[in-house]
Amino acid sequence: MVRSKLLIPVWFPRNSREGTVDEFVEGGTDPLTISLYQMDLDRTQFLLRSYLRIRLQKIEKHMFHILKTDELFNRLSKEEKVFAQRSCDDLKMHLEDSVLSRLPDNYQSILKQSIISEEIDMVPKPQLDMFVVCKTKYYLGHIQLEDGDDGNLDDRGNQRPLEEPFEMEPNVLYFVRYKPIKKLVEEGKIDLY
Amino acid sequence: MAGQSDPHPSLFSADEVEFVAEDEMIEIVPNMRMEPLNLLCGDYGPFFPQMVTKVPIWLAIALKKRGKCTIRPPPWMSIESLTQILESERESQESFQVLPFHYVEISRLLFDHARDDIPDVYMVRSLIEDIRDVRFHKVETSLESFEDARSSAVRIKNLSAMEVNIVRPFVGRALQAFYKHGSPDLIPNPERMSNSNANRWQQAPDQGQRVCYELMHGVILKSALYEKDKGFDNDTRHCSTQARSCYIRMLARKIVPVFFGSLF
Repeated sequence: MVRSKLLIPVWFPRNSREGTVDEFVEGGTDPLTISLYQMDLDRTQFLLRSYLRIRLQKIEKHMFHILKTDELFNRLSKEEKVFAQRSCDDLKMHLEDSVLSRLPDNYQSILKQSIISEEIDMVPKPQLDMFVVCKTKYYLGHIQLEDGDDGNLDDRGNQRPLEEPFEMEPNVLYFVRYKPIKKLVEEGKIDLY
Repeated sequence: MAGQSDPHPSLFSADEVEFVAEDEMIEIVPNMRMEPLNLLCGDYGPFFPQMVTKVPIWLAIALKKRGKCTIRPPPWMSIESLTQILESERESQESFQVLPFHYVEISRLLFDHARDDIPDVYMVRSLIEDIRDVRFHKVETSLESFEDARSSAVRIKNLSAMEVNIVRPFVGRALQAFYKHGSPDLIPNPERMSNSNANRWQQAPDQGQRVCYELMHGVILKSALYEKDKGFDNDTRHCSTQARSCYIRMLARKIVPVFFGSLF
């Protein structure tokens, strides 16, 4: 997810530009120029709206997960935080009214499978094993495709045989599993498509 | 989850890919004077009659529609270079020739809005269509070779935006399925089984069922995905039937050994 601070500089020039289009109309500027400015504005707004809509879809998809993960929650803008909080509350209320309140006492939590679960085990997490299309601007040698440091030691038995480290040439598209390159994407070394 | 609006939000429609391509630069020859434009997407101009200048395609088309300029087709859109590309495209079954990332969209936009600026437009158009067909066919056949790459990364050199967009949902999910079914969780590991009592449910017969279930699940998902895609565009339909049968074939080859391996 992209940091919400990025949005602010996009919104402000938007407002001031809109002022300039009106000024042009009043100032009697040539209608062709005005319509071009208007088109430019429409394109930018279209992009911006698609961007915001995609973010809302992501929030809808994993709202409980986002709400309990500070790292993700802090990436939301103020309005998105309100949206996430409210849709969580609404969904929770709905599920409690319709189903959970009729279940035995032990099974009434929306986050846990039953009262004996020690941790929250009923919140779906985003699927990070997805394959994504990406490309890099610089040569990146030696990308370790295994999940690396964050794997628990207990899971050792589970691990795949190590794959060859992987190289990325600039401007070539790759299908790659998202997890191993997550960090590089966040550092801006790899662009997703 | 409830309230989810679109099950595949990462998939772009053909129109969205075209929208992105409209930001690519192209040369125009204006026939009027105009002050520089300070747009959100950059500063362009000033414009003088007969002076070549570079603008984004959407701007070029807007000016063209009002009869204010002629568009200069990019150098790769000539009969010579396209004939050459088509020939080398047919010669090599594996690799793809270098074409602009947005060649499908750019050529379509220019054919729609600036026919009279392209020399030999009919020939150019049929050449590009041929190239497109050859390449899409190659994409489909090369999907089979992904089977060998049971790794986490697959290289796709010189594929264009539209082609990537068409194969993305399918290839992404197929690779994901390979990755999942190649996981050590599903391959019997005698050491782990004897050690762990907690994991007893993972023993062989159940495991077979699980693989079988996932196989069916995957196939059904894929079918659903492609039914949905059919609505999008002609381009998408292209991939559907053949790709699906290819997927099932690949999946079957991958799964069956694992399945039997766990039974015996």
